Amino acid sequence: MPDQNARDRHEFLQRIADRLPFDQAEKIDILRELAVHLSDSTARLEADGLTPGAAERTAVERLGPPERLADSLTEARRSPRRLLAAAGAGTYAALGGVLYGYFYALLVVMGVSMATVLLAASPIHLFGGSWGSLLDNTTTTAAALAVAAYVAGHRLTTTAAARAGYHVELARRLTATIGGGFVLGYALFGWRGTLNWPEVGLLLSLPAWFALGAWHATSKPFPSRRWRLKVIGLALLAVPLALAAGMGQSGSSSGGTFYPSGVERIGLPRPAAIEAAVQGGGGPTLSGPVWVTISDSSVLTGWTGLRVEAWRGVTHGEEEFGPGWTIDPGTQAPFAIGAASVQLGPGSFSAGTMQEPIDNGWAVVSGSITVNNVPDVTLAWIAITGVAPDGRRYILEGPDFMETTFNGTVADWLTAVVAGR
Amino acid sequence: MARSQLLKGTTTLLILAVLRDDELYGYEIAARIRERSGAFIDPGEGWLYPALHRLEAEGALEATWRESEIGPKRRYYRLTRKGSRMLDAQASEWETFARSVGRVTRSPADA
Repeated sequence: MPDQNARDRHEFLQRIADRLPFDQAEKIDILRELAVHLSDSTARLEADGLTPGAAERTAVERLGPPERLADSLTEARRSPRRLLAAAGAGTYAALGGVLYGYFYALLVVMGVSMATVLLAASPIHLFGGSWGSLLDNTTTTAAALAVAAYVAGHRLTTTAAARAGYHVELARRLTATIGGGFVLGYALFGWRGTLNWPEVGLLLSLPAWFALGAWHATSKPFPSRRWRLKVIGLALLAVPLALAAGMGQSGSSSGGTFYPSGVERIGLPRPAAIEAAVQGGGGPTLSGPVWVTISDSSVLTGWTGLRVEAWRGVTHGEEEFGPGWTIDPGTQAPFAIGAASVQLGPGSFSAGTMQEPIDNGWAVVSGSITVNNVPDVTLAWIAITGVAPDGRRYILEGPDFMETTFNGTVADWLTAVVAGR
Repeated sequence: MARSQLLKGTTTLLILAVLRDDELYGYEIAARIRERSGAFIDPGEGWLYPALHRLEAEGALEATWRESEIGPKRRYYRLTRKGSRMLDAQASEWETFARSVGRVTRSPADA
């Protein structure tokens, strides 16, 4: 039974040590005082005529059950000042944990990445593939932040509990909740960069990593050798898989025109009359329009529903301008639509840095559309379309492809998702 | 009424009182209380250290580790100003209380 008296001073002191929630230095201070007391008490009882064994047992018994004494000492040493000190020390420990965990994980991931690439370079080359690049920066950073959150949760809980005088089992609920809230705030609003769904998921998991660290907190020294080996083991498993998954993906940010698979879902090719009248056209840039110049504006008579459409694209393999770059087979409608307008000549039309003359009788159909910062769209196909007098939709210009990224916070991403972009 | 129950309310007063003139370590404090009370108050020492640590946390006592005349270093306690004020207040309150109890328990014939 844990509330029974101890048999001797060693057991007594050990049970007190096991029960006290304080850090090592504070425990030693308390135990030293009790050990001296037991020596004095034993000596006095021996002087009174007891045998050494009986004297020690009696001295121990006079202090009562060790767990009860440890609990009374714990309660006696708690104070509002200690709570403040615990908050400060816990924050300091958590920040130290973030730095340690982040850089440790970064080194592990980078090391395993390079080792994997070096070891696998020859076999991959033989099969005609390429690694493209090392892990994406955001993925690496988010993985390192996950480890950092775990270490921070662990250290915050251990330190704050010891300083405040509470057992980690009690403190971790509070540290996991409050600290997890802060980490969630950081994950949503603090981190900014290029994002995709896996990275958003990894960033949103940071509070869970923090809570897990808090939950695993013990009074034992951390990080242990076993924990470090676990991180390395996880990296050895995950990094090669992530590299293989990303193998062959290139990261250029160019744009261009060719007819991708699935173009019929956008519209029919230009009718012959329009095709004969087209004088030129241009694809979109992030800030500029997509446009087409037609030398005989009368061919547009009866056309309605002129607009700019952006369709989600996908890439299979790294071949550019080829069959690997297609309109997403799973999509049946554009993810964004912008208005297109017709400007009649004479005059001029400005497309970025270029001035396009519009002669008398000519027309320019143009419009702009925002395709950047759309969640989960890394390739967009953009076209000007319109409904001809026969009631069918035709492609007047394009489709032009454009590589895009989502650059922002997780909150921006989620807002865009909710808004249906 | 059990002696331990009487002791509960006076723990702080007893500790502060024996530290009025001396710096003492834990075992000495218990021994001094036992000695001054004519061994009437000798309840075991489980209550002592929690009380000392609570008073220290409240700022009524200060503790320092230093060499003793015999044996290893010991943790000596001494009263702070706050502790002295606390002692005066509690001693006065106790005397009032004891006199009042005495007046109640004394036979009217003794008055």
